[in-house]
Amino acid sequence: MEVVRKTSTQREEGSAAVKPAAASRPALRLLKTWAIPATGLAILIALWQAVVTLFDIPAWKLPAPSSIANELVVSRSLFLKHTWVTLAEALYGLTIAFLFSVVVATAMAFSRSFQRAIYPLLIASQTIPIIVIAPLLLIWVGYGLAPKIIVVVLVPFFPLVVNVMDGLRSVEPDMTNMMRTLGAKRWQIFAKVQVPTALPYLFSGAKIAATFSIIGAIIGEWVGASAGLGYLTRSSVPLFLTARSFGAVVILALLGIGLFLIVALIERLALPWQYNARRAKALEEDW
Amino acid sequence: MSTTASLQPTQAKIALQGIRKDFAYKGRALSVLENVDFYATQGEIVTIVGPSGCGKSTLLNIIAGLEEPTHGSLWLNGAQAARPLGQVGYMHQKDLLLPWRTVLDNAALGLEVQGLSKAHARARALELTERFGLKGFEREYPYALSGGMRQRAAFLRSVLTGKDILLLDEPFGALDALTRSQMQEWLLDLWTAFKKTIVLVTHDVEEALFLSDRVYLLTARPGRVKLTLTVDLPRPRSHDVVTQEPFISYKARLLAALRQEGLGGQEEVWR
Repeated sequence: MEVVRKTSTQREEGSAAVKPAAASRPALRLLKTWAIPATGLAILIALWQAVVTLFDIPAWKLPAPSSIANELVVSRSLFLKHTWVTLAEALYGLTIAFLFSVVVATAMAFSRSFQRAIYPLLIASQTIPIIVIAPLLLIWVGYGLAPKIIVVVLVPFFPLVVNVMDGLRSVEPDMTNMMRTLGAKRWQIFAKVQVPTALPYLFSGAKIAATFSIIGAIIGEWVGASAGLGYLTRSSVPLFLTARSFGAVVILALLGIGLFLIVALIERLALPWQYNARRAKALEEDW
Repeated sequence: MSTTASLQPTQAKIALQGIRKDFAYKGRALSVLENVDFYATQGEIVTIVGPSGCGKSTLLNIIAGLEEPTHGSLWLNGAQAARPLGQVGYMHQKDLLLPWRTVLDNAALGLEVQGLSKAHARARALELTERFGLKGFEREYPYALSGGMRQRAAFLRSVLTGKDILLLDEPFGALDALTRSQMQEWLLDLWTAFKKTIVLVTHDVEEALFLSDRVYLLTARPGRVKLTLTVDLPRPRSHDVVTQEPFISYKARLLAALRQEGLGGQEEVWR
């Protein structure tokens, strides 16, 4: 009897912290997350348009937002063609970087000696600018998709590996001991505790990697390509097709944001406990 | 002082004989436990109290198999236990619930580790959620629960593994005073129902006396058994006993012994 009574009071307490708050002021929340940044962007674009019109700046020097928008519409099939190329490079590279880094990070988390052997090399590799390696790749693997994909793999590889390894290593010793007293074997601790602990770290790395992959694709195209948005920006400038160059940049930015948002969405679906815990905390702070 | 000498380790549920534990510390061996004898018989609640750093938790870790004694032997169920890991239930001061698992899945974790299917393990956990005051919360994640509920979920996880020995390392230490005393009574209810053998570590002399059949008091480091006190209070107990004799004299005895250990500046711990 005693137990049942206690439960019902605690139920009220427990849910009171989360549910009524979640329903409160959704409009305010929407405003904070979307309306404010959107207004900032709108003001910036308006200023840009005003400056170009007011000082009569020629379009080949600095195109107005309106002429960039116009170019995007008029040459949409051209943009679309090059967007697919860049997006394909980024996605192939991202996938390979992702799989490769998970394997390497897992191996490093399991073996101290492997970590000691690999880690300094990884750090050292970060001091070599990709822009130096990219032209060499042309010599080694030729033109085409391959050298671009390799650059895309190289750029986000490091943040991914470090994040995943840190995640696998971040399990509290108390947690591991708890599993051991339950009789868990090494692989069970890995599968049931280490992997889920590492997932938020993996997604942090993946969000960085998603935006980096676009940068990687551009670098790859910059040193030698015949298609892609990086190629388009580069080839448009000498022809004074500045609006086209800017249009490509706009698409690149959207691609980066889009990939980031997709990763964030997958994270939210895959880790509901984390999203809800954060949200509950944020809402409590709002109050 | 000890009354344990007469009992053979083969007759006890848990027995420790001549336990010593050294830790390597800055190149030297630091002795944490010295010549500790301890026993608990089937269905007893035995508590270990002592000043901070006296090796209370190390003692539990040895019984759980997380650490090996430098000297001495451990007996479980009347036999010398070489690899006790996984043979006893262990509950920490922190609930150590996995944040990505619901209450039910957390409770079922031990059974899953033992090789039960997820569905089967969940079904077994579900049978006991009401008894553990978790009914209606099975699908919640731990962050949404109060401290007391989280601790009960962790407790359910330990109980479900079916081990008849439970080690509790300051299980209520992180809870507020009211929740704590509710949890103590709840623990006694549960113990009456499940008849586990419980070894409890606590800072709280009152908690130790209220729950236990026997209290071991350890000295400051290196921990030795300074005093063994048999708590002769009728069961079931309610919180009224704490203001009456003989509880008061027991408490005075334990507190006096603790003070002798030179606890300057740690008064707040003993209350």
